[in-house]
Amino acid sequence: MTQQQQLLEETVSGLFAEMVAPMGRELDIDSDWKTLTQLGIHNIFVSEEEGGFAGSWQDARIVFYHAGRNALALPICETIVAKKLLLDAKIKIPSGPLTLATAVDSRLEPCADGDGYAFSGSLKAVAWGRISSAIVTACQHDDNDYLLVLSSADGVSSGGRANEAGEPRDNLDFNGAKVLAVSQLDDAEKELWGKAALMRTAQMSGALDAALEMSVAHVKGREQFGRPLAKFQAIQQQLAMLAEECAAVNCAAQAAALAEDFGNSRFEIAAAKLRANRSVGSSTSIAHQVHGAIGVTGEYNLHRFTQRLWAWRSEFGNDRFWAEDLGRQVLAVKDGGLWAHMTALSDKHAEQ
Amino acid sequence: MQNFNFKPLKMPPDVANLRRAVRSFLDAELAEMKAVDKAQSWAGYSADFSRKLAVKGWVGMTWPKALGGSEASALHRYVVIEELLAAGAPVAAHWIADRQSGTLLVRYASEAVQQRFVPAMARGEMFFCIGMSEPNSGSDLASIKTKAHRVDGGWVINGSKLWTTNAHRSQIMIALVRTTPQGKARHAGLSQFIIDLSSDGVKINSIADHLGARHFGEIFFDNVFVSDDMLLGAEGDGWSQVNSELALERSGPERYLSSYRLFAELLESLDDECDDATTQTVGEITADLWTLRQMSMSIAGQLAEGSEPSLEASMVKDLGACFEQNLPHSVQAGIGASIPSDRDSDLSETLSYLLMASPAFSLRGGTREILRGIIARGLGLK
Ligand SMILES: Cc1cc2nc3c(=O)[nH]c(=O)nc-3n(C[C@H](O)[C@H](O)[C@H](O)COP(=O)(O)OP(=O)(O)OC[C@H]3O[C@@H](n4cnc5c(N)ncnc54)[C@H](O)[C@@H]3O)c2cc1C
Repeated sequence: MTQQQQLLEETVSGLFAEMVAPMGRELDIDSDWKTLTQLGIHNIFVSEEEGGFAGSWQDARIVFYHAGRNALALPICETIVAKKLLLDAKIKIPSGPLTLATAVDSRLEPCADGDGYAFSGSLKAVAWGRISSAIVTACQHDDNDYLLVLSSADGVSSGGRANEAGEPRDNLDFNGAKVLAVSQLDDAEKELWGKAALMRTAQMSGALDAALEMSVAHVKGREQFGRPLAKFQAIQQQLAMLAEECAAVNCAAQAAALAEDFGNSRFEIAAAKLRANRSVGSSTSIAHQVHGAIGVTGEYNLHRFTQRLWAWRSEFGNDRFWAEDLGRQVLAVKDGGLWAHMTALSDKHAEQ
Repeated sequence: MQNFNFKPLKMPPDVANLRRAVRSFLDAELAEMKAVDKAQSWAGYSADFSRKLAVKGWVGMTWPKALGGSEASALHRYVVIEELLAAGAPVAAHWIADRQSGTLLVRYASEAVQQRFVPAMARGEMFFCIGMSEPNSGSDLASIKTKAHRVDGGWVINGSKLWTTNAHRSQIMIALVRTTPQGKARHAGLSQFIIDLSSDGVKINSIADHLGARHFGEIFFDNVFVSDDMLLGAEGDGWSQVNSELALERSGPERYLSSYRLFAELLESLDDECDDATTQTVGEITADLWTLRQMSMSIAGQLAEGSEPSLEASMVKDLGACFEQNLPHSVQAGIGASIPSDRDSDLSETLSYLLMASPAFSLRGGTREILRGIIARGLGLK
């Protein structure tokens, strides 16, 4: 980690921990959002001239990780990624919390008055859709891909059920809504989806570490049969496995963020999100098992992390989605096969 | 809570050229090799191949030039060995000398002793084996009984070692033995010795594994004399020396690539018109493989910087062994639509071999349970 990254890490880990205390407090989209934005956390990718960090994906990963580690219930990660997509597309960034989603049955047409474009389509399970001010999405028009940004207020709510952790996931329908801005971008939907998957992977790694930390603390404190649970080998072996999963997902998230900084990281992101998804079942099961009954109570905070892990596993690509995506990428590799492909990807990041 | 360091590694700039050179050498050398022989990975033995590899300068790469090495960085060595493993090269003969024994000698031996052994190791002519386990001491290594007592000008060794890889086809063993009887401090009183296996009083039997292969064996020491200079490092420091040796032994790419050849064979047998279930299996194996490679590379980078991430190394070894063991089972479970079931194929033969060979992957170099115990200690649970 660079010195700057260490500083960022200290700042966000301290700030997030403070914001969520006492854990379970409902965060406020006005005052708490202000706390975040005053420090410019949402501006990780924004240039220094415009008040941002001019940061990289490796920097952003630090924020995502700590948002996950603290179960921070605000769309800070979505805002960061949405801003990055807009910055890359040279689209003016709307103010307020942003989010990102893909659309079904979507259509983009020039407005009747000749000024700009109108969008119709359904956005399903939009993260924080109701409380966001604008949504970044993708759409095809005339065989071209476009990235566009919509005002959330133009969407008509058509239900949507919160995810397992109670985070809002709203269905929003747009019918000829005027887009705030639009820009042609090849594979816009893939770009959006991949970056969002990287974001969730890093959040999952934070949530996994939190579940491990709580589990370790619990088994050290809780005594049965006259000694701390930590002293039982069955417990030790379980937690060692959980720690390995945490380490693997953390490493995968970091490596994928590094790859994204070098561009075209579809392979790495697919591998990292799939690895994270695949650890959720065993990891949450171990964390709950070593806690006993206290771990399934509403009062105890373990569920803030395990619920998010169950939810995030399905978001921006579940196991099946990424396994097929990655499998197809591998099967399409010609020259020299997978090994040559994988090593070429990492050699590309060689220190210049 | 203990934080595990898995920061990503950026490879040194010139690795792509090195990779190309190794690949073109291997293309030529391994052209005639059978798939199932490649599947033996780092258990595949060819003294001839080791000598040829040494001529290219790819044995003992990191050792001093004065001792026949090329003072290459640990990361350049990492690139060479991962290429060897991915291709299925028969590296067993020199593997232990290259991975750990040479480094131990460079670290702890006198210059005269170094000159006697290391250049021959770097030429791929002198092979080493590791004498730790004994009939009654496996996981509980500190309980070993083989002992050395002082005599004029040296030491006399009595006892036996078991499961020694390449016992019958190595010239030298580095053995852990008791130099003072076991007292309260179990880890005290252990020392390492360099033992010439052609000495009087050494008797070696190879042992057949359940596939009939003879890769390990047992060694008996009956009043074997070794001179003073064959004590490696300091008397009584054996335990800490062995532990830093184990860090070298537990962290390399061989800890997740032992079954890689099966995946390579599988991919070769498929075309891109593959059924969904098989495509998913390929994706899942790839995600694990890629992640383990990132973890293993991260450790290589930290080792090259001079830190000793032994906790992280234990994690990679355990996760890696689970991966290597699951891989044959995933392939077997998926045979059908796109994966050919023909039993005469290279794929099928490789699968059979790995189904049978893979149980050892979570035993050799420290068992799964022992590694998880180390990790639990790192978590503060012990
Ligand atoms: C292919 C192969 C090559 C080898 N090469 C070498 C070599 O070159 N040199 C060398 O010195 N050794 C070598 N070994 C030996 C290897 O290091 C030992 O097999 C290993 O340390 C385990 O010892 P053991 O076989 O005696 O099993 P044991 O120690 O008897 O263990 C049996 C089972 O009990 C478990 N167990 C033991 N203690 C505990 C505990 N405290 N808590 C929980 N579970 C426990 C183990 O994890 C294992 O599952 C090799 C082994 C194999 C399979």
